[in-house]
Amino acid sequence: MKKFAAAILRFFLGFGVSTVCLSAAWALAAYGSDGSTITIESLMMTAFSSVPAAIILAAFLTFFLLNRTLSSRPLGCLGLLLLGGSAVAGAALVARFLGPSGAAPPAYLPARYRPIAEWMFAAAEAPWPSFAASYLAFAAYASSFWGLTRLSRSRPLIGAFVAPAAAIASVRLLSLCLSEPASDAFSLVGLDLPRLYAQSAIIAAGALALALFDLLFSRKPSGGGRDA
Amino acid sequence: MPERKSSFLPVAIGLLSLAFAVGFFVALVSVGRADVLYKFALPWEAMRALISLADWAPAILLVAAAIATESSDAGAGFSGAARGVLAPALALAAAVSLFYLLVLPGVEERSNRYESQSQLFAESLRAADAAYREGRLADAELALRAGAAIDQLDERYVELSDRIRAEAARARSSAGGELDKAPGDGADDVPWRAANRFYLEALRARDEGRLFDAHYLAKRSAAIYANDVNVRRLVAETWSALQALGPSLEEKAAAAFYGRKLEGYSRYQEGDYLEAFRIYTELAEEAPDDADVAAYLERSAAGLSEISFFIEEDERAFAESDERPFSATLSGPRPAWLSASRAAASDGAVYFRDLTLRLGGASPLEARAPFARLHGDRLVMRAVDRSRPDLVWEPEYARRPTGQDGPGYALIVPFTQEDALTAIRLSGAPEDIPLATLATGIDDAERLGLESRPLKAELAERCSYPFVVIMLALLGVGLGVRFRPTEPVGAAARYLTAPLLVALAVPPLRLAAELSASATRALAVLAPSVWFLPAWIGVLSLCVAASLLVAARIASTRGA
Repeated sequence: MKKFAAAILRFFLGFGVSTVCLSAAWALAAYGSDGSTITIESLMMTAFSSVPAAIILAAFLTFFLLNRTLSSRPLGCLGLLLLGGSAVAGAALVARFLGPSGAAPPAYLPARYRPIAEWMFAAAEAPWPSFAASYLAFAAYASSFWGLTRLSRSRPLIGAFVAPAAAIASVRLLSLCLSEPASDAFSLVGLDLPRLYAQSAIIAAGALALALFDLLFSRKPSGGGRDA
Repeated sequence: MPERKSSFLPVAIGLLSLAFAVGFFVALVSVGRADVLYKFALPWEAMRALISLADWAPAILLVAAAIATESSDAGAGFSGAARGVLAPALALAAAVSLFYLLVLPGVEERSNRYESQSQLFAESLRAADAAYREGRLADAELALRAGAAIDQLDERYVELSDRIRAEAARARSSAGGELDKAPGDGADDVPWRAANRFYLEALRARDEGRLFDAHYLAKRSAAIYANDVNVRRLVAETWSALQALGPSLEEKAAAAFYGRKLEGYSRYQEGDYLEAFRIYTELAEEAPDDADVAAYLERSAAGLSEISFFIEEDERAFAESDERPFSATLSGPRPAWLSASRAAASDGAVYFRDLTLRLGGASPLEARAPFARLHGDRLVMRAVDRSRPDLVWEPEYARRPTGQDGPGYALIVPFTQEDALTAIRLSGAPEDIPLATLATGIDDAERLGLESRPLKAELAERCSYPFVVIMLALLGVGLGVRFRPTEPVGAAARYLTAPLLVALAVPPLRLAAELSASATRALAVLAPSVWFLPAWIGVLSLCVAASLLVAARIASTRGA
């Protein structure tokens, strides 16, 4: 039980630190490159935009602890789903009820990250079914990378090097999944889904593919063993 | 079985060699896309490989430290493992840092020069070809000069140069014919009319006593109308009259030669060095062994260098050194602004192309010149082609200072040659600038009106490198201890997976470098110049201390 609490603590600590670090880095980059004015409001918007990336980073930080704590994949996935879901939905609820309406991500965010930030803002103000579908799909996506840290039991160092690169790749992949051309893919097969549902479906498909990869190629977590 | 001897150096050296080979291969396959001239291809590929090596070296150090610790038999703790691995890791980190700080800027500068010169060569050929197609032969020859300074053996250059030269020669010969035509006479397309016109003009010249012209025009008429008796008679008559004029042809030639020598000398004495140089250049072609001609050719060239320079100096400077756009501003009682589309430094002077000079103060000035040379504080804005002294490029004044009487070919300016050299060195890509210039040049950049923030950011990034490699070596040891396998890893598996681990380490390190660059840019804005570097080094020292603690913490979670 103590180890579960440690995992929860690590996740939320990682989430908080990542949110602060990412927001500070983006604001600093904007200030250093073109002297953009940074206000409290723009900092709040930056922090809200950074939530998906912060959750992914926090999830990657927690994977290693779960490898040593759990021996069941479904239990771990469920735990990660709950942690990720509660963090993203919590931030979105705060923005929905306490934030300004019609808010948008700051212009100085990196272009590659903009689709994710725009999706985060759009989903926070969406009707409840879209809200739930979007953030649930995202939580599943963030937790589905767990398998990548259990690729080799004989060589745990590989997992340690895979994790940071995979965290960066997962943010890039998410940005790609949320981009307009990806959402428009459904119209090719004659499905006219609302944008947020189309995005949720693509993210969920990505999560499913990664879960399948986990089942096929990754080792079971050993719960106290030597997984990376 | 864990190893007694650290495998750090074999793994690191193997990975560094592989990184150079991969970098060279990547450069080899991308040389076409980079559009680098054939003569630069091999050195450019070698430079790119070295740049890749420096780029990947931090990741290599991290991986080598991790792998060496992973398979070492030192004590299970961080300090035990660190003792065996950190000594070679820090030695290699120092070597890599010295390479990065002292060698890499030169390598980057050469690589960029190869690219920019190849681009300039292609642009020069494109401009020359366009001018040639539009019939602007002088512009075509001028555009081709830039290409000639870079590579005269390139097939494309040789082919275009031959075409332009042939066309220019044809144009010059037909222009000579044009001079003989009466103005407004457009009916010479029929040969007999031209012959008749030459004949009539020859008669007129004979009647006016211009016997040379009469004979010349009669000969031109005869060249077209050889069978006409009157024309042949006129040729013979004017030749006889010329012969009867006085001394023999040889005597006349010697007298004319002496007369020209005298004229050149007079021009030299009057200070018209360009005309003197032109005359002595012509005479030197006729009589290269004449001692007077050789002496005064040299003296007139020396005199000319006070108010002009030879275009070959400019071409040599641009061919031998890196060139870049130039802009510098000096404030003070006489504010000055100097800009040029390109500038290059040679041993003795700084050369500019498409220069614009503005001087403020009580007597403002604005001038433009296609070519200029700055030597000391003397700016010369007139260029002369040594082989064809009739080809001269002169300045144009939009605003002349009050009291300027002469043509203003040379000026004393508030900029010195040293200022211009400093501005050239600091206005290129910051990563090309040598460390010493960067460290001492930020104040100069601010004095010369250059943007100093990119230089500060680059200086900070350079200073970061040694700290970063130390941090990564420490983190590598921590990771190696934390993720040590229960069963020993075979040497083959270790060496085969090492490149994969380097590839995996590169993206996060690149992201960290981007974040660090953002932080340095922000610090460059926030911190005063004096405090910028000490503040950044302080931050880096704290990061090294923090990474030591983090590495020890990572290692301590082993088996937790």
